[in-house]
Amino acid sequence: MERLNDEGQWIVLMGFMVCVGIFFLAVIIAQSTVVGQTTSEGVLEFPKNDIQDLRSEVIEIAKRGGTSSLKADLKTLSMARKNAVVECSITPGAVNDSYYEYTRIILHFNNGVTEFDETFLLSRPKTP
Amino acid sequence: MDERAVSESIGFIIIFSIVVAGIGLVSLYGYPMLLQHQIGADERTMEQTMITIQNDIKLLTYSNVPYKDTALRVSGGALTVYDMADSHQEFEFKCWNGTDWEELHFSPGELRYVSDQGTAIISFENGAVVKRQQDASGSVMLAEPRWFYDNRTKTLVIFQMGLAADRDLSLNGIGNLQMSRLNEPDVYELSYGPTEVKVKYTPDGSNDYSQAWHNYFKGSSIIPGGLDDPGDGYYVIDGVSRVIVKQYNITVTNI
Repeated sequence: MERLNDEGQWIVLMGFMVCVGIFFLAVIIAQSTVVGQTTSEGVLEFPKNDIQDLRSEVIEIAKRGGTSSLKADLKTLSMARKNAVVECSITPGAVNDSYYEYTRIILHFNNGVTEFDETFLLSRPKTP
Repeated sequence: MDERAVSESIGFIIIFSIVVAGIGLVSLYGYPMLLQHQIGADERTMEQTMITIQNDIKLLTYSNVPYKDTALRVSGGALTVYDMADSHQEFEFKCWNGTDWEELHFSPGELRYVSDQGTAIISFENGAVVKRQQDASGSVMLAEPRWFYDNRTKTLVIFQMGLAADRDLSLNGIGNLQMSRLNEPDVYELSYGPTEVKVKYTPDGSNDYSQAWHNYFKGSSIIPGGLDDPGDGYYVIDGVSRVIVKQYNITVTNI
């Protein structure tokens, strides 16, 4: 009886290895959609511009002396348009040194995903 | 090598029976397992699709985008839109104004996926994506709504998302989900000084997600430590000085 030719066995073995490799690649690809989604959500939901806009407005209000009605408007507008709870307090002349007078600005922003708090000292030269 | 008693036919019979047994095993056990796997994959895909829909609704509501259009594939089941008027579940808010309870009732409508072969039911309900199994009492929240309590200003912010459809809509296969939000949200703002706010979820009797909402209210998402649960169905949060409830109406134009 003729003996079996077993010289091609490594081809079968390589086939198995390639199969296992493709399987793992498929698992990685399946995971990548989930990762991409959560990452893009994180980027989309971070309210960078909302905080920057609010900050610049509040600093502008503080430069003009800190009128209270503008702060109330800011609070209402933030809730209506950005769905964020905003609170700011402006204290002119909170800190003093020989050359400058500082206005203390305390800023609070919370939109349910991101909470941001900042205390900021705005300097103004004292008139001699 | 001694090759007496070696027969080709016996070898063939052995190899052939191994092959037949292999085919039999695969069709008996392997194929049903494969189908089961397919059902599981369909349900998982649908979970992700629901989260995508939730993201679209977030854009429609929080980001003030008027129209949104999503291509989606619903396999292994059907996705149905339930209008706010047809929904049986209800969210109730109560706020003590010093002399009386001010009440606010809201039926959010629902986007519901029901698996054909499997047992999963996945819903978009009032901003959350929730899932349960048919014939089982538990439920789980896959993605939470964005309700929050700001501890510094003692402000409780609640977003309600109602779905409206002017006719019965349902999808099986590949389709396009068109949604719009053209009206300003109804805003209820109550500020009575430090007060008590109660929240209650009344489930749809045939599709009960109360466990998922219970876990959400009791978990640390709204406030660290969760809302109090006195056991009467209401979840209580105390010391709230400003309550804002925003009700968005999202219209599903086509699916």
